[in-house]
Amino acid sequence: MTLPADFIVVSILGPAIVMLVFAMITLLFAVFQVDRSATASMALVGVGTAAVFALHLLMKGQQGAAEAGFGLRYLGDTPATAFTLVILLGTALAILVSEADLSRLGLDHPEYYPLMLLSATGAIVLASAGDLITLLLGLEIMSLAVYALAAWRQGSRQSEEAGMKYFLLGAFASALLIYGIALTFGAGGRFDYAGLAAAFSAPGFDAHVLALLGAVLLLAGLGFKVAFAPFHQWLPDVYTGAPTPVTTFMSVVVKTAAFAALLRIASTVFASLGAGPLGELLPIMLGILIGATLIVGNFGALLQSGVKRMLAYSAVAHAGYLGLAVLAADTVGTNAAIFYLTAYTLMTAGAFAVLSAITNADDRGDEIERFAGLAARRPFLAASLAIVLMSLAGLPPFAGFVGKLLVFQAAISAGYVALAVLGIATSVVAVVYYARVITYMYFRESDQETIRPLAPTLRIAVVIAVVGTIALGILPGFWYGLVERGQVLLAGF
Amino acid sequence: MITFAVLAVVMVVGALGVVLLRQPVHAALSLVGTLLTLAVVFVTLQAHFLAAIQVIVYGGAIMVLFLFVIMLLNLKEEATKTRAAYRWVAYGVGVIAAAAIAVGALLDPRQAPDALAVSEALRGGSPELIAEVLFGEFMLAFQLVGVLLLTGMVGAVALVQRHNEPPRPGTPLADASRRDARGTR
Amino acid sequence: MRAGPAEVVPTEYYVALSALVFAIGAVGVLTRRSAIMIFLSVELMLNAANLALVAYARQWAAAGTLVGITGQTAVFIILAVAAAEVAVGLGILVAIFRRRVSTDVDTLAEVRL
Repeated sequence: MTLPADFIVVSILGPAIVMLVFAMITLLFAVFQVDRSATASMALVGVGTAAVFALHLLMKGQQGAAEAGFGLRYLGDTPATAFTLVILLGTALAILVSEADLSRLGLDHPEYYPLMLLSATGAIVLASAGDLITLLLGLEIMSLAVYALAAWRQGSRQSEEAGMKYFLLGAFASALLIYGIALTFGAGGRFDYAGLAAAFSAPGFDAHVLALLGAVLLLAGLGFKVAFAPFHQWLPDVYTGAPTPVTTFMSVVVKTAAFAALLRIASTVFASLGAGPLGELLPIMLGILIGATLIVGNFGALLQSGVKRMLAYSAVAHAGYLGLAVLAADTVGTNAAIFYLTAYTLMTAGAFAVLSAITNADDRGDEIERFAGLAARRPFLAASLAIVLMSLAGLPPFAGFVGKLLVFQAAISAGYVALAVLGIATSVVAVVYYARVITYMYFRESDQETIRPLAPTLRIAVVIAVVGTIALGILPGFWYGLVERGQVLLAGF
Repeated sequence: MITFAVLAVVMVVGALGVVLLRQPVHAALSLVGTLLTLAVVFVTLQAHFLAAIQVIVYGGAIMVLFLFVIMLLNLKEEATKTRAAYRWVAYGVGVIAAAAIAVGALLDPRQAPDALAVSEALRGGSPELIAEVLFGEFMLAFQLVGVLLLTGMVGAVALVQRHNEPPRPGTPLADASRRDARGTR
Repeated sequence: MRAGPAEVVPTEYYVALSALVFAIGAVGVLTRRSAIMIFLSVELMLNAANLALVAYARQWAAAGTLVGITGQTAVFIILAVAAAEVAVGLGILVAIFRRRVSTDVDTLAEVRL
């Protein structure tokens, strides 16, 4: 077998390779016991370098010169690079939060940053994958590192249980995904999305039931990772049990990468099934999942008394809003999802950063009473949290508002009006639980409790999150325009 | 066909053993049986190299690791069982899943493959052919497997090899976590 | 229909067998309580997936191309995935259990889903 001459394209692997190289460097730092903040700086340098490579690829996409390699198994087009940039942003924010928290929380083990960088590498691969095997490997690289990080605080039952639970359900989800891959291979005889889409829409194709079953299992496997409603049960416990910096990483990077993969599959493989005799079934199933996710996430968040747990349920709810973009399964939906995930990364990381400054050293004490009178004691923290929470609730003029608008638009233009209306209705519920925290901060008496001083890196993370949230809200066209002008490589995308 | 039937029965019995036996060691041994049967099934499917790998990697390395951990931690049978109603739901899910996939497979209109054509194409699934795909088409995937194994290694070492003293029962952090665990349950 | 002395077991039979094993594994994940038993059930599901892949690899090989070998190579990669997963999973398990005094093992054997 001879490969085509342009089979190997190293340039599109740039961001992933840079992250991998810096993971090795930080690993060597760990061997030679270089101190933690130097390791963190090196990790940040790595993220920055990878971002330069990703920006270069993004610019190529602007000029219509986006590349793909390995027989369309790895893509360097605009959605892939835009998601890569969002992943890198999330990683940088998570590193900043970690740096402030690790020593305080007694989590300071040298393998922390290497694992985080390896996980981000996997996330980038997942977001750029063009075939099911690459997708599986990216997903596993990302997940294995996060399983270990979720169980990072040993001796704490909650963290250990979070790691174990996350691992078992993640392994279960991977098994579903792998079986889905097997059935999809059985139906289409290929692993790459382009080949599968071509096989499924070919005139003589007759294995519709098999292809549908494969698609359902793929959806279920990825549904676990993005936490669609019946598969979300692990999320509140894992988010609450894991150390806050790890929760930050999980909630932004893992979610972004999983959605990137899901969007890519939905707009190629799933879309090519849509024309077949059983084509309507898959969107109906996805629609039910998304409706359930919106309701469970928002009403679940309403019932929580702990802020960390509330944010966990709100992560489920946001998966529902992003699901609307997946349902649209076209370029408009993908662009909406990219914007939404950028905004989501900024505001969620900001919220968790503030949370990590307020809770106890062992991550406890996130009750809402803890936030009473915060505005008087720590006006900076209170104002920052208020801004990111308003953005999460989808209030203008913040980024979350634009994101929701784009997602609803995508859903309506794809014909899912009922779900969009449900999304808008549940957004109103969302305002209630976010506003409750703001009310506590601004209109309740202070209980005289002092909080330790804010670590400088944490302050940087909060400032980036808040400035980003406001900037994306006021000037959304800057980022959205870049994404919109870009180039997509797979048909149907 | 008779070979297949025998192998299928052995495999299903082994699988049932994994989920029904109460002692983890017995369940793991039952899984070893299933995996070895699967290796034989691979041979009947013209995947000889995979059959060997299945025995060496899965039946050998992975299951030894499982048994090692079970014995190291001295895991015993489970104290409690799940609620009956929930168990029936789970059985329902299983039956539906099996039925759906099996029906899906049986509805597949394609003909059974011709034996000659298959052995011509697969050549027994020889290592050379697999290597050609692995280092050709799957080049990127092969590199990623390396990254994956590195991640698994770093993760496992980081979890198990902690240098600082773990909090013993009686120390404040251990007590706090125990108290909180009770409070949240 | 099926000519020749060498009788070929249809692919569907193999896939039906794999579906059965997969479902047994899924039921195990849903009903067992202890982490190690859930983990063993997941391994069962992975092997069912491998069986389906190899069966379909043979099916596609009859189409006369190297797709069949592609399917078999995917099984090879999935084996590596399973091995890495086992390393981390058992790592978490060991990390949890070795810190416990013996009486705690009973309660922790049931990491619940």
